[in-house]
Amino acid sequence: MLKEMNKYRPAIKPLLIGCLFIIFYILLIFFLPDHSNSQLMDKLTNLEYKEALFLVQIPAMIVWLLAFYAYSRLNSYAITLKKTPSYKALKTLSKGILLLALSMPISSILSRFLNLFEGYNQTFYHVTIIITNYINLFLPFAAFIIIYYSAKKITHRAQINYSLASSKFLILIYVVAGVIYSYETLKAFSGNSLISINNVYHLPVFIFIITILIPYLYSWFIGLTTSYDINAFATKLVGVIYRRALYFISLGLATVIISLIASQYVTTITPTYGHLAFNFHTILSIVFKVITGIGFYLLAHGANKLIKIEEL
Amino acid sequence: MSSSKNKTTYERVVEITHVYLGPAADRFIDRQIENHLHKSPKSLTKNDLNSLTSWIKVIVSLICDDPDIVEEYIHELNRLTITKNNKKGI
Repeated sequence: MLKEMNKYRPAIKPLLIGCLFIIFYILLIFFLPDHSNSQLMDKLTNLEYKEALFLVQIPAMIVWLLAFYAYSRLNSYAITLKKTPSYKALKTLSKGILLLALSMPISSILSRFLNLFEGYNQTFYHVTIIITNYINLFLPFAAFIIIYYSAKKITHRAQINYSLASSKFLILIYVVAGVIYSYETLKAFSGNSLISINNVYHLPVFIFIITILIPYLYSWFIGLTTSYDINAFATKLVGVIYRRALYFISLGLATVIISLIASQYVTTITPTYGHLAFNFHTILSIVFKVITGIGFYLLAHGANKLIKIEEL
Repeated sequence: MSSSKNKTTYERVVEITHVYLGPAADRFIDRQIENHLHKSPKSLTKNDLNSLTSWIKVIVSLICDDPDIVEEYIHELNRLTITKNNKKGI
C-alpha cells in the first residue's frame, strides 16, 4: 500500500502544489484589501469587484493546474527512461516546464500584493511594480533557456540539427513582431527625459531597454527557436507510433511557448498590474491563457502516450 | 553492415519494431519478451514468434489509436513467422 502511494507521489505532488497555489490565490482575491485604481472599483461594490476578478481569473487558474499536470506527466515520462541516455535531457525539459508552471501563479500572486500597496505607500508601490515586471520577465526567460538547452540535447542526441536560420519566414515574423513591440513599448516613454521614472514601467528608458526590452526579445527568439527545433525533430524521427506521441509534445510545447510570448507581448505593451478592466486587453489575455492551457494539455497527452509506450 | 540472413530473430523483431516505435523499439521488445515470454531477449527463438506477436498486438492496440498501423505492424511481424514456417516446410 505504502509502495503504491510512493509510486504515485511524483505524479500527485505537482498537482497538489497547483491546487495550493489556486486556493491561496482565491483567498488573496477575496480577503486581501484591494486599493487599486481600477475604474471598475467606482461602478461595483467591493464584493462585486472581487467576484468579477475571480471569474476573470478562472481560466488562468485552470491553466496553472494544466501546467502542473503537464510537468507531472513529462517528469513521469523522464523517470521511465531513467536507465537511458535521454533521461537527463528529458528531466531538464520537465524542470523547464515546472518553472513555466510556477511563473504563472507567482506573477499573479505578486500582482495581488501589488494592489495592497497602491495608494498607501507610493515608494513601496514603485518598487513592487519594478520587481513584478522583472519576475514576469525572468521566470519564463529562465524556463525558456532551460527548455532550449534540453531540446538541443534531445535533438543533438538523435543527430538531427535544425536551426531557425533555415526558416526565413519565421525570422521575418520575429523581426516584424519585435520592431512593433519595441515601438509600442517605447511610446510610453517621454522623449525629453532619459532618466524619468514617470511611465507605466516605473523605470528610466535606458534601463528599460537593457533590462526588459532586450531580454524579452532574446527570450522570444529562444522560445521560437526551441519550438521550431522540437517540431522539426518530431517530424523527422523514425517510428510512426512514437512520432505521433512525440508530435503531441512538440505541438503542445510550441503552443505553450507561442501563446506565452503573445501573452507577454500584450501585457507588457499595456501593463495592468492586477487591475481588473473589461476591455480588449482582458479578452486577449483570456484567449491566450486558453491557448496556453490547450498547449499544456497537448503536452500532457503526448507524455501519457509515451509513458504507455515505455511501460506497457 | 550485417545482412538480414545473419541477424538473430531478436534483431529482426527489433528492426521491424523500430519502424513503428523508433528509439523505444528495443526497450519495448525486451519488456514484452521478459514480461510475457519470461525469458531473456537474446534467447528469443523462431518458435516464440507467434506468442510474442499475439502479445505485441494486444499491447500496441492499447498504445496506438490507428488500427491500420497496428495491422501493418503485426503483418510485418507475421511475415517473419511465415518465412520461417515456409523454410521449415521446404
